[in-house]
Amino acid sequence: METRRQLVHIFVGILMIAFALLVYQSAPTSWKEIVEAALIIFLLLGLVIIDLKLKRVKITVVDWLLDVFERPNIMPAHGALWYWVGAMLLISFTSGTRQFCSGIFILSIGDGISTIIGKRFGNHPLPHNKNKTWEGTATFFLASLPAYFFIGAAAFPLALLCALVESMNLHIDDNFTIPLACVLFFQFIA
Amino acid sequence: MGVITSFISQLAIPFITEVSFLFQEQAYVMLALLTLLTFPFFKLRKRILITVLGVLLLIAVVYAAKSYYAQPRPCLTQDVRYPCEAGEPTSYQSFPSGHAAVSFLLVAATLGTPVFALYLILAFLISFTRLYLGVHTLNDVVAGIAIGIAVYALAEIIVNRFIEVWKKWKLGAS
Repeated sequence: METRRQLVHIFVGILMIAFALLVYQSAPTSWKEIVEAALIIFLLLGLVIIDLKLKRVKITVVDWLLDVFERPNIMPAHGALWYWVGAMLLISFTSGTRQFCSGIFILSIGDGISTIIGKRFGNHPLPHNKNKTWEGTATFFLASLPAYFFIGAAAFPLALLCALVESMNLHIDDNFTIPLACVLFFQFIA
Repeated sequence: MGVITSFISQLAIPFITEVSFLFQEQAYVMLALLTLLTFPFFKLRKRILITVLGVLLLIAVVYAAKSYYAQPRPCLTQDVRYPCEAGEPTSYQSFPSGHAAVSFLLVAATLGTPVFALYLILAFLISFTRLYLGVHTLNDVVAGIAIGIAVYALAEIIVNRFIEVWKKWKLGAS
């Protein structure tokens, strides 16, 4: 189930990047607002669905999706809500498609692949967080490096920072902490 | 200013104009009163505590961000239907939108409660009117929404940890 979740995580990230780049090609001066409008529409829809599920309203498609992809015993679509909020944070606090796409790339592909690898092959827990492994963290860093194609050499320190943040037990969903780390990096370091 | 902000800020719908100026002046008061009236629907006392803490944290975060970024409002620098005065104290506090942040914090607080739909509609209307009046761009509103929801979740984590620590202390003391 976790592998399925992460594949969806990766797929949604790729879709978001593709959408942003396509919109940028067609409307270079307004791409940001168009992507933001799309994010808002999906957020509103998502909030309505979460509310209905908290009220135990049966929605066939949503129920099936939650059964297949959601972890048990947590708020429905909890991870997806954080993912969306993280994406909104990224787009509003960064400038240009490159920074936005690199953040989404690290959030979706870096985090997605590292979770799959970490859960399957991780045998060496981190000293500061026994729930994460060296294998997973190293995979996060390596899988995030292709962000180089968006932001050049800045991808190396950014991937390292995000891998470090993701490895820590901050009690906040990493679908939010990773975009937050990206925003802080672009604001104060890069 | 993007195409969407530009389009909305050029609209002239009398009813929306009235509502927009009402929200401009009274949104925070209205939200505070509405929250007080609907607290019984929040179901859990813990949720009320989280909301109050969240609002306090949000004020700090939004104020700090507005001061740091000091972005001029679009009604000051762009061609909008309702231009604003240059000397206003909040002329350079466009980013992020405090109204959107507070509204969506309350939306997060009311998820799963009978009043969620009311808060969601209100949050959407308030955020829309900020674009309509040209006092914020869509980017400001998106940032506000993200911050509002994130701060609520952060407040929830803080309150849950506090309750955990308090229970352990109480067990230890007894």
